[in-house]
Amino acid sequence: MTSLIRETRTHGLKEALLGGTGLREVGRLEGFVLRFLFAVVVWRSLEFYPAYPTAPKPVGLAAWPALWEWLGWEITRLSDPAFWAQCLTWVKVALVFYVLGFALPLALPVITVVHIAIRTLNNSQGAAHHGFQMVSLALLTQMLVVWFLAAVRGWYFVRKNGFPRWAAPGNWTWLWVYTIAIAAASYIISVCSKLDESKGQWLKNSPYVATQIVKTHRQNYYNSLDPQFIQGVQPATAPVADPATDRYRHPIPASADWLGRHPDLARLIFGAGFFLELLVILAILDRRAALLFGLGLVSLHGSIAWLMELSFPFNERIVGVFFVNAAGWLILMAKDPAWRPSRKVWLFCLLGATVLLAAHLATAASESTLAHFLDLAHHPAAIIPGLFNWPVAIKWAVVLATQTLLVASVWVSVKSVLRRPA
Amino acid sequence: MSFRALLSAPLWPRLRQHGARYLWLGLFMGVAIFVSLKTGEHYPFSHFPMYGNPNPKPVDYYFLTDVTGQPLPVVDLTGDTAPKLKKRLNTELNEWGFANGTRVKSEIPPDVRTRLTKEVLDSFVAQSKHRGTPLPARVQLWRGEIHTGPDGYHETFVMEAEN
Repeated sequence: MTSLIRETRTHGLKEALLGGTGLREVGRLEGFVLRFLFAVVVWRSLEFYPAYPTAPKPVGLAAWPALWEWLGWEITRLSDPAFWAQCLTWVKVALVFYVLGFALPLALPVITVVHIAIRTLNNSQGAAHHGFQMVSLALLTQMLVVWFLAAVRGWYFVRKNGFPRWAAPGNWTWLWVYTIAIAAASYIISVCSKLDESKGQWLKNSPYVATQIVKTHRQNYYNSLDPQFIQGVQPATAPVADPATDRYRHPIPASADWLGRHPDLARLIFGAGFFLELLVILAILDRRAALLFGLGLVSLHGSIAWLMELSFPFNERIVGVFFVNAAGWLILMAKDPAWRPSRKVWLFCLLGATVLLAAHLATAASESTLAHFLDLAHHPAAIIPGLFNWPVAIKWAVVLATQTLLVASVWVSVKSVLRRPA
Repeated sequence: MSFRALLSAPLWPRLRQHGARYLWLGLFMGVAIFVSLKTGEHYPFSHFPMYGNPNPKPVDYYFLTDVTGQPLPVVDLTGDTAPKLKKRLNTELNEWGFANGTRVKSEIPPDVRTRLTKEVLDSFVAQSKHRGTPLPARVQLWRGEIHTGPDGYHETFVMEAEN
């Protein structure tokens, strides 16, 4: 706070807020936006409350009976709605501190412990769910980095030296880049498991994923008997009852049928996702790389949701906030004229975004391939607006503005890569 | 700095400028990957094994029906998804196999499999009662198997348990 006041006196409020944001750095205002959006993601993820009264297959912290004995506590206490409401109040207060960037070494542990504990109880039922792991890991990472920074600042304070630039207040680069790093690591872990489990044959055998597409459609149907997952055709009963073969015959999803008949193209499609996950380590390089891989990962998740009816909304949201980071690009453009597109480029980007959005809205009800690609194209811009319950008109206006900004960001990124050295 | 400029810059100043940052990040990612792969399914860590071994073997899934064979909406009645039927059963089978020295599910004796499947079905029945959306008095747990062949896909079904 004092550094903000000092900088405001010397540079003015605009400079103090925008300063520090660069190709590889995250300044004060961008840090605030990242924390605010991530706080919304965390809060949304806590809305999924599984009230399991027991933990029959304990994992993680739940599998440390000595810890719980020492604490005199049970993780299943979280299934008490009154206690859970109390936990949410603590998290709410801690999130306010987190967004303000104040007392993070104390606020982050509260959020992290509650988030990990409730999902640990959920995963201690003998059925692992992987939809929330990235949020918990991001919180854990931020907590560890915050503690490290607090120790560094304490050390320099005791020695009466000024803080090094990377640990100075107002520099939020660590929050951005280490969250990207842990998210990227999650994708690389998935690649390692694929290679390990398939004994290096994953790419070769990837066309068999098509069978899994049939399975995920079946499972989605049996979740709530929604006929959209069986192409609207109700389960057929054979004229001569034979439960073993015909009783629950459903149509095969078109995507699985197509991939099953085109194994080489299936290999190409699944291979693209495989290499995207493998190379995502490069996203830590700078803002351009993060954007490029962010757009790729959002498209990957969108494609998986389309083909397999399997979505990972919280992974997408973390990628949307930290990798794609539209707000960061806007701040960079506002601060540095070198990264600011010309009016002509803005107009071109707005026109392109408008056409894409109009085409998406016009085909939203369609099940055609074109409609799915248009849905994918607007997906990165729709992640942040999707976090809020805004009226439709505001939502689509923000999507249009974000889409324009993202097209412009891609433009300046490509231009910077192609620029000749001075 | 543009990509070309970055490539043409001398190596040492480039490393000195950003090397430490990437070294720490790389180390952090390496540790995170190692810990997750070693730890396995211990929340928040996981080795993310989903769809890790595609192969031509039949793919199975599970669902619930009433006693007449009419499918039941698993999420609406139990609060958990249909995939969790399979995951919980696999956990039970794997645990039994680990304790008895076999990693191949087909080697598990049929009576043990029947008992474990029944336990899983009972756990879902209890869960539905606990959340106030009880399953019907009699429920069946079915396994569907999707087979891949030169003529496309076909499915077979086996009733695994009944309460």
